Amino acid sequence: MTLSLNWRKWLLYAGVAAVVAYCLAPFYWMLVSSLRRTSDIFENSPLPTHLSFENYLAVLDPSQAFTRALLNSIVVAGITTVLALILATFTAYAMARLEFRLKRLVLTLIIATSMFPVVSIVVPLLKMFVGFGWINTYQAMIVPSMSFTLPLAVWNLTAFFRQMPQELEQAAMVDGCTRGQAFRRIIIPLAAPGMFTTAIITFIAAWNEFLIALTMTNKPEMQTAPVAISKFSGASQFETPFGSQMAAGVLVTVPLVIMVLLFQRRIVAGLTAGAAK
Amino acid sequence: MTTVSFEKVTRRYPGNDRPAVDALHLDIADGEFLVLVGPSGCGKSTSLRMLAGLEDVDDGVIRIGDRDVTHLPPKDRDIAMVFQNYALYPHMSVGDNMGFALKVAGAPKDEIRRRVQEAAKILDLEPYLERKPKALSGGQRQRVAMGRAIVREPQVFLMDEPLSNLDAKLRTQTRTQIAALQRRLGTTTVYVTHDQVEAMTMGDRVAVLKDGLLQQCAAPRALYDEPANVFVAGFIGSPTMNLTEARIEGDGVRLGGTHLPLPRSVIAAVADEASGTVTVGFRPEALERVAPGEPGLGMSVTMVEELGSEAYAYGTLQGENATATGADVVARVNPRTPPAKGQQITLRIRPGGAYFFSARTGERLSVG
Amino acid sequence: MVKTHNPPGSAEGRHDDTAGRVYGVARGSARGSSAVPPASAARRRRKPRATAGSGRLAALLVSPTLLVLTIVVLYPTIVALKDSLFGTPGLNPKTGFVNETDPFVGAQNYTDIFGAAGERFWNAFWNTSFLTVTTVGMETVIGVAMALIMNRAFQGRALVRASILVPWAIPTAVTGLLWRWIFNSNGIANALIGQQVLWTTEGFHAKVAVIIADVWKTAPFIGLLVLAGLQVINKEVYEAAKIDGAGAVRQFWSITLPLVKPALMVAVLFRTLDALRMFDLPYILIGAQKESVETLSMLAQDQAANVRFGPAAAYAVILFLYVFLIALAFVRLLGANVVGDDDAAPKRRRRWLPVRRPAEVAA
Repeated sequence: MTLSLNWRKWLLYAGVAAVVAYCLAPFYWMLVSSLRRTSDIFENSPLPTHLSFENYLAVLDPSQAFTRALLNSIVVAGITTVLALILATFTAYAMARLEFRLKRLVLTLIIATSMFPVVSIVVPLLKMFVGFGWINTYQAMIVPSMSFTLPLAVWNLTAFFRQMPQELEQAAMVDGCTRGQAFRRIIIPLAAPGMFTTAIITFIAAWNEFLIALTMTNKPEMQTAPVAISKFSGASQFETPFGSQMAAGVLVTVPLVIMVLLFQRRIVAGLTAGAAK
Repeated sequence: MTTVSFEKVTRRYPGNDRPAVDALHLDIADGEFLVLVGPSGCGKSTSLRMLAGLEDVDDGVIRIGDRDVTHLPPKDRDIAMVFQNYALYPHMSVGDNMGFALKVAGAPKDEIRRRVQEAAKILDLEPYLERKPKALSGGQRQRVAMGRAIVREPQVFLMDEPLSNLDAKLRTQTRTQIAALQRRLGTTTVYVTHDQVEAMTMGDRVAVLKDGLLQQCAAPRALYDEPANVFVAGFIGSPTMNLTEARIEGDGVRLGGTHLPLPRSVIAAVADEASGTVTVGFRPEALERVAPGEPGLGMSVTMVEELGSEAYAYGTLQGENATATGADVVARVNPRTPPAKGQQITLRIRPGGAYFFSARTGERLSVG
Repeated sequence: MVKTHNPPGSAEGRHDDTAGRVYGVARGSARGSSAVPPASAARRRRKPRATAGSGRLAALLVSPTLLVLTIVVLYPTIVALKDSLFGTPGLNPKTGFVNETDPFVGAQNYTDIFGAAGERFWNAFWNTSFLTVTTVGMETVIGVAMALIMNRAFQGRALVRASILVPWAIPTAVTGLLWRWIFNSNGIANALIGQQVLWTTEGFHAKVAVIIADVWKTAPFIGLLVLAGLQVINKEVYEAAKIDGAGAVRQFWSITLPLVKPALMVAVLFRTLDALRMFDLPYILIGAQKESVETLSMLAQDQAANVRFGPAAAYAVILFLYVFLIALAFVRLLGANVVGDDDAAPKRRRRWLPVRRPAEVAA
């Protein structure tokens, strides 16, 4: 029995190592590539032979307006998240706690709307926003983003609220609170972790968004980070600045990765709350 | 002949200094219903799981029949197990649950169907064969778990506290059903429980465990009448035996305000014990009330429990002696004329109703 | 044997409901009803008085969300439908200028796909479907494998969990760029396989590049969702299976897979719908207007970028219908249970004959 046990253990370790390598290797490569000098960019060695930060300097150079793009991303993703969270909290509470006819239908509809192809929404909205003069504004990117962030937040928060025991509000109501007060004083504080997790997940989804930002903006100073990176130009027309792109990619990703590392337990719990019923 | 034997079987968990099961040595006869009983953490479930092959054995040998099964995987042991939480396959119907093992073994379809129908008939599960476990009540699920075991027609049945999740009334009903079923099928059965009532009513023999060590293994009556040590004496029987440590005075002990003479063998046995005390035990039903003036143990009643057919008086023993005053005591009293709360009564231990245990080792000291 | 008189589904039975799932108010209030899983709240006729007015409150809480979604999703979709009935403004023969308004062309945009212009459409349709099937298929297999590994591993759980989230956290655009770099003709991919494949040019290899990049990004996510499903499975069920004689493979097929199916179905459903709408990755990895990887989303966006709103809207509507039908198929036929109640699973055929015939009735 011991022989096969050891064999199994090593197989498991190998499996775990494979999973970790699978996930992190490309990211590692991005990091390494960003630290090479432009002249060494095609070196395929595991570590840069000459460590250089010139790519980062190039990216953060004012002429690239990259910092502006980062700012745009923060604003758009941030506002989208806040709005989605507010609306979703109320809706999720209703879904998880209240009884009303058509509840299941409404939830299905809400989740279904997140399945509409973004391109189907963006095309008509583009026409509409052109009419409003909203092209190259923040609202042109925030409003369509609600189409997928809001249902995501509702789904997440509903699963989360469902997990909280009913007895909490009931005890509060017996103690004299109205439903609204019970909600404010008892549920919200306790739901804070769940809301925080939903906020993170929503923020990442909004930050990730590409198509809407691409369509609604044509001025570089209004573009979000993902769009800006995709449009990086190099010194000459024929030279794609891979190093700078990798550096920009790292700059865009590292904050998210740090956030993920810090809150991984919460995020995993949030992502899987809906799935593991 | 399907006997089961544990030969000095030990299980140690890393990080614990005490073994979970310590050199368990037990021989179970063919067709016997053996109950493993004890408080939580005593090692009874671990022992059962070692027999099942779900736990590794660190030392010792386990045999089923003549086969050494110590390191065999569960599927090669020809055993069936009923889990405490039933462990039914949630996605399969009752019929599929019961037939799963046969399906894995590759039995032909009609054979599986026949055996499942048979077991379902015995357990009254025929109307539920299509249902999924979540559509069944607790008692029905328990029967499905039993059905899954009987269908296999194994050499040994293992049951891990199968009744603990049922309510009291259902428990008593099902208890007799399981015992009757086992008698009918004649399969060797090892049954784990923490409830001594179950142990006493169901087992041919009962093995009492504490902290991984076997305290005593005997027929229920023997456990009741001749407990091997203080633990067994206090564990078996409800309400529990009254046990007090009493100071030795000359040829007896001071107890409840009176002098209780000790048998000579007992005095000799504890002569060299430093404590100068001996633990005296007597069951509530071994006490009888005597008239107030007569010699006997004085008791101050604090509460009386009336159960209809019986009554028990709870209180404290009287007496000036330091170690024997204020000891809690329970006495069975006449249900027609129970004492009142706060009343002082006098009790006498029936002849032969007193047990003596070494205060140091806990072993019972034989009388005579 | 004495019959048990407890009706199935009674309160006592509900006590040891495995996995302790909380389905909200509906389940708890269905005590004492029949053994068939309790009906959803919508079927209860009478509302208790203490909670009267919760219908109004619910409407108040839910309507802002519904309002926003109607404006942001439903309205544009209807507009898209309308727009798809218009064509591109042509030359006005009288004035010699391009017409300002789009001419109404009816269903012409749709019928055009069966004509000359349709070739690009059908190419996009094929690309979309092919990429969806391959990526989702591979992601599912790899994701399930990851989940199984993570479920067993005790050491390094935190490290694995954090690693799993990294591909998910990286924006798709960055992923596209990263893999574009990896698949550069002088990049690491070619270095590792020792060939000089021009990954980002037109050809089947472009599809392969997109597939690899997409699978890399999302397999861990599926792994995560499946892991959650795995962790809910009662460990004792595996022990019972061991005793019943099932080996590791058998346990996987007969126990693990069926029990993980709900979580897996939801994960696969979401991933399939995402894959059908694929835009970011092929756009950045390979480029716009590239025949080998142009998806329906890319096609629609390209048309819109060229101010051909009519066809753009038509393609968008078709994509929407495609996604909708697939989602419907998943929910109805495969029983994907997104909303979280019991009624979704399709009925299985009966295998254990009911004992009704007189010959079989027990005495």
